[in-house]
Amino acid sequence: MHEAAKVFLALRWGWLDISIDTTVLLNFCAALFLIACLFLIRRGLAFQPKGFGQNLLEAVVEFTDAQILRPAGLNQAWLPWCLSAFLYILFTGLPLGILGLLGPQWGLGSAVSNINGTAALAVLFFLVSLGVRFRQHGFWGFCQSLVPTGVRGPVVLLLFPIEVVSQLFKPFSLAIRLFANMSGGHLLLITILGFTALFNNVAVWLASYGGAIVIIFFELFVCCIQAYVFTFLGASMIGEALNGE
Amino acid sequence: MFRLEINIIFWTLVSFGIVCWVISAKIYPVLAKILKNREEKIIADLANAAEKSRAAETLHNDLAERQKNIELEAHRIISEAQEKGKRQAAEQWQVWQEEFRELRRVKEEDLRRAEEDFYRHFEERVGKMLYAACAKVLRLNLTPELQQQILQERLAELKKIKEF
Repeated sequence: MHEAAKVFLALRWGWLDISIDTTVLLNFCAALFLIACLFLIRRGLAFQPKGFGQNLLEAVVEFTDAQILRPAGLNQAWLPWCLSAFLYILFTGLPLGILGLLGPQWGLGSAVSNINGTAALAVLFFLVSLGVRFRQHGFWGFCQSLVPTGVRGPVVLLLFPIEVVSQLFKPFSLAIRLFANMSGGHLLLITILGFTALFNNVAVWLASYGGAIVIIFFELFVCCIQAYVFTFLGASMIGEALNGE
Repeated sequence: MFRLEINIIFWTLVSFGIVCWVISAKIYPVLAKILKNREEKIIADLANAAEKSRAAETLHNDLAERQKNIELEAHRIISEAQEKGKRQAAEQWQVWQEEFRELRRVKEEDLRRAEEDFYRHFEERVGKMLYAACAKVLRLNLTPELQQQILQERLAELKKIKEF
């Protein structure tokens, strides 16, 4: 799908290769930028909101509460987790659009355009949902929750593996959905800008760059949507584990 | 095509963990406290406003009742005052009538006395004037024409006084 990113710092932890490459660096930059923004907003937090930052953060918190937590059936204790996931995906996805202005190959280096990054987040959500399911229902309840309610007899033997596979496919579909949606726009961007190399024509150049600019802004919108979709589906997975529905 | 990149998985989880810790431990508690305080204040203000609204409603009803009573009281007082005023006016009219009749009687008495005095003085004066005229006529050696003229003049004066 993409070339190996340039390694800035080669690190190893036992047999694990934890080198810092372009993708990791972009990831760190996005996370640091997010943390810096949050601390800047925190410094100006007041009982009566004064600045744009606090209003924006409160709006995001309200949005997370109303549009993610409540529909997913989670309580307020899960708000920091869901807020973190939403903001993290949003900020790590933003380089897709922002760095896309420098060139499509730059944007593709961000974490959410890499299947490993999206898979890590999806598996994390899946493991959390498994943990919640174990804690809520116990081992026997956990096994029972994998069988649809009202099913008895030999049908259980048929449905149990299907349910297990469907549970296992959830993080897979989460990871693929985020990865495909985030990187799809950039592939389109590369294709459109590739026309400029094929056709040395002013009209093609204008159409390509005009279309590229539109797609870059559209990608910012897609990034917000996908951050919401991923967080909502992850939260639904946890909510399902918590409520047993 | 798809390659397992442990470093990306590891650092993604690390950076997400850091973000999650920052939000959970440093940002959200402060924000949640502010939001909770604001919510409590809004709830308290709303309750206070509802309480004040109820008090205002009670006060308004009380005021309307009192205003109604005041209007009734005012109407009663005005009616009583009008009745009393009419009664007092009638009594005063009677008093004035009495006073007027008394005054008129006194004045008529005074007038009658003055008239009597006048006539008494008038007769005395006319008598004195006639006496003086006769004395003058008799005392002086006047011609009969002149005597006649003086008597005519005195009689004319007498007539004038009498007319007066």
